[in-house]
Amino acid sequence: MQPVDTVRTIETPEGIELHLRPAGPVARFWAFFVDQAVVWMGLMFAGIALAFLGPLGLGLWFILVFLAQWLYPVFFEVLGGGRTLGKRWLNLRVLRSDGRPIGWGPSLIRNLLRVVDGLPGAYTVGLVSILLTRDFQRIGDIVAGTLVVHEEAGVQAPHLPAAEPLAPTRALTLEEQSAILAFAERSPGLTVARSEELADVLGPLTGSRGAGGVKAVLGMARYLWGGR
Amino acid sequence: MKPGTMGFIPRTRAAMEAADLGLSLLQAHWRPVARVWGLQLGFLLALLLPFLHQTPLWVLAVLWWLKPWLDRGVLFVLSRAVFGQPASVWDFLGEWRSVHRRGLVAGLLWRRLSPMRSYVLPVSQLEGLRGAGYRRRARVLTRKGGGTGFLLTCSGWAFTLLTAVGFIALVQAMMPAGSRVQVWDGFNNPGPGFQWFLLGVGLLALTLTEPLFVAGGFGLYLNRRTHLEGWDLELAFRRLAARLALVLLLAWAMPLRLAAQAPVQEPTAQVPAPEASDDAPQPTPQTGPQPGPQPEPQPAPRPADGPLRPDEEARQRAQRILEQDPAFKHTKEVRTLSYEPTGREPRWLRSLLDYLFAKEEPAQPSKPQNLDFLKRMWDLLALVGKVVVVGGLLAFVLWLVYRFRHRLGLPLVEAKAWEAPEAVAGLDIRPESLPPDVPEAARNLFLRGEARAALALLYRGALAELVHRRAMEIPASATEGDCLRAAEGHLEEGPAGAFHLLTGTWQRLAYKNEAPTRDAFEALCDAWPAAFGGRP
Repeated sequence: MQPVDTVRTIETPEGIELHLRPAGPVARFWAFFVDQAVVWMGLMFAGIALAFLGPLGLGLWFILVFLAQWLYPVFFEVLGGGRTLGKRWLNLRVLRSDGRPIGWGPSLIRNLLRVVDGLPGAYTVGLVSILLTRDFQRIGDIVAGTLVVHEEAGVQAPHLPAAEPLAPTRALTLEEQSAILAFAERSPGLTVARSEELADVLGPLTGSRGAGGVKAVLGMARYLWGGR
Repeated sequence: MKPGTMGFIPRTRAAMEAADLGLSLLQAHWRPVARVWGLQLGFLLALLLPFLHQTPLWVLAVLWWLKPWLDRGVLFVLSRAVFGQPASVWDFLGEWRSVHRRGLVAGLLWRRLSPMRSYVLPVSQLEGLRGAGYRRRARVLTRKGGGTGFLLTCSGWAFTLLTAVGFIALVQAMMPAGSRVQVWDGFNNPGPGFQWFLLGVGLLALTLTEPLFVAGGFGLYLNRRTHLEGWDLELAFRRLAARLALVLLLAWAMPLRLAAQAPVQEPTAQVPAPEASDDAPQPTPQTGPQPGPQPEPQPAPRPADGPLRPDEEARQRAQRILEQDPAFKHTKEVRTLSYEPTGREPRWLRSLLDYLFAKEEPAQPSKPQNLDFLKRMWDLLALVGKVVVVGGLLAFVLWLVYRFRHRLGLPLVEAKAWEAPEAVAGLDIRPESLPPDVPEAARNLFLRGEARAALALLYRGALAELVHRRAMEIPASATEGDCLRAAEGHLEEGPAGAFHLLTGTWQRLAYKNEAPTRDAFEALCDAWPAAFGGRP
């Protein structure tokens, strides 16, 4: 059986790999919760203001409720780069399933189909659909061809522990280089024993074990990052 | 554990994504999870029903409380899957002891309502920790991702409740047209039938959502350990070492010396290919309900001819026209299912039909939707608005009064009675902690070579005198400098000088490790009783 992963890799026609990480029910529930809280808070304040207009205000308020429920997510998704306020809070984003940004059409479809996902009264269809699909799509997502994904964390320059730069004795692939850099960046958070254990795995590369091995790997990380 | 045999790809994920990893695991291994879950649930029901079959809701309540036991089955299967071993019902029974040995009682009693239950469950079940070790480990784990663990628990409750509501609504929606059975009314007066129905709905909802909750917590746990122990790094390093070994082997086996720079084999990450579905079907969105062709009655009499009739008469006349004139006649045909017993159907069918289409009350045309509640809600909202506006103004005025109370000449609130601290700058200044004769005790200490203890005793004796007899108010966090400044107002000239000297000597010893000479120390001791010896 293939090992389970949360990352889906998509290759664009230009040969570029995109890594999408579909978001599951927990994050999406809270995003929805925040969105609803925001919308109803806004509606409540609008209602207080409109209440002074009497029955006319009530009518206007109902129009507002309709617009807020149906179009709030559409506007925020299309104009906010796929993120409503709740999704922003939870670091989520809506994309087309091929990784392109979402447009008016798919957004309108996925939000209108909340009617179906909401059946039979408490989003049970949506939840079951998310549980049954590999990419956690509700019916609206399937029909509109969209995905809700976790945002990628921004890339930052690593903080590497001080060490004497050391050139690796062998040429390393990109993946291996980034593993060594990640080790150096995370070594302050690892226990000493575990750091040495991990560095021992690289014995064939460093030619030493224990504390010396750790020092050698840290030195290679410095070298790879540009220290000479 | 060998990284190559792991059932998931370790990465450093954000906590929410880690919860999704758990769900992905559950999706991949739902069959064995379902089997073990079914076994456990069947076992519990067989145990509970003989005692509680009169009160099905109690069965549900007990099952709900025993969820941590059910969770252990789910976690057992998922943990075996993660470490590359399949888990059948027989494996579960075979490992019965190890699954339940640690922490089950705690989990069912005082940890039952823990807000991060599923996140820390592996600590007791898989790591086998208990007591202080468990608490320490759980604290380390929940330092990161604890908030997500809490959100996971909350959303677990929400999903269970919403799913149950959804199932009840589904049953109501499936009632045939014309049936007057109102499922929701059962909550007002839950008969035994309704209680059994609720039990079924509850079991269904738990079965759907509880494994999701456990799997999410397990995902958090795996991710936290990946962060703490660098599982992803180990995997990458092992691949690198294996590739190097291959390179070395080739270099040794071939007569030619290979250039070591050539990467021999690209270790490819096993990522499932995505299904390309760029062209999703795009059905036209449903349009809203069409307004039905409703003839708008226009019964207004023309006011032009003759004097205006009184309102009441006009209304009556309009009413008459509406009722009698066929142009305004409004008939509506409503067809519903009904049921006439023929006497030939079997009894169960008969009772079911009787239940669905209760014969007593004739079908009434549906009443127009009563919108009164909206009006009431609206009035309530207006009231809330008034209260908020008036209350806000009132609060603002009160705040203004409070803010400028000194200008208005109002009495200021008295500060709370000051309490002397027990220690200042780490020195114990309670009078009862001092020896009866402070200078004598200090001299003894000094002669024994403990200059630091001797000076500390003199200094804190002086502080105790100042705080407890001369009412000097200093907080426990005061430094020596603070004490010196504060003492100025509380001491006459002579003692003030002595305190200044004492403070300086103490600071030099404490911070510069510069002990005073014997003579200087004696001078301090001699001055002490006069300056600070207020105590008899």
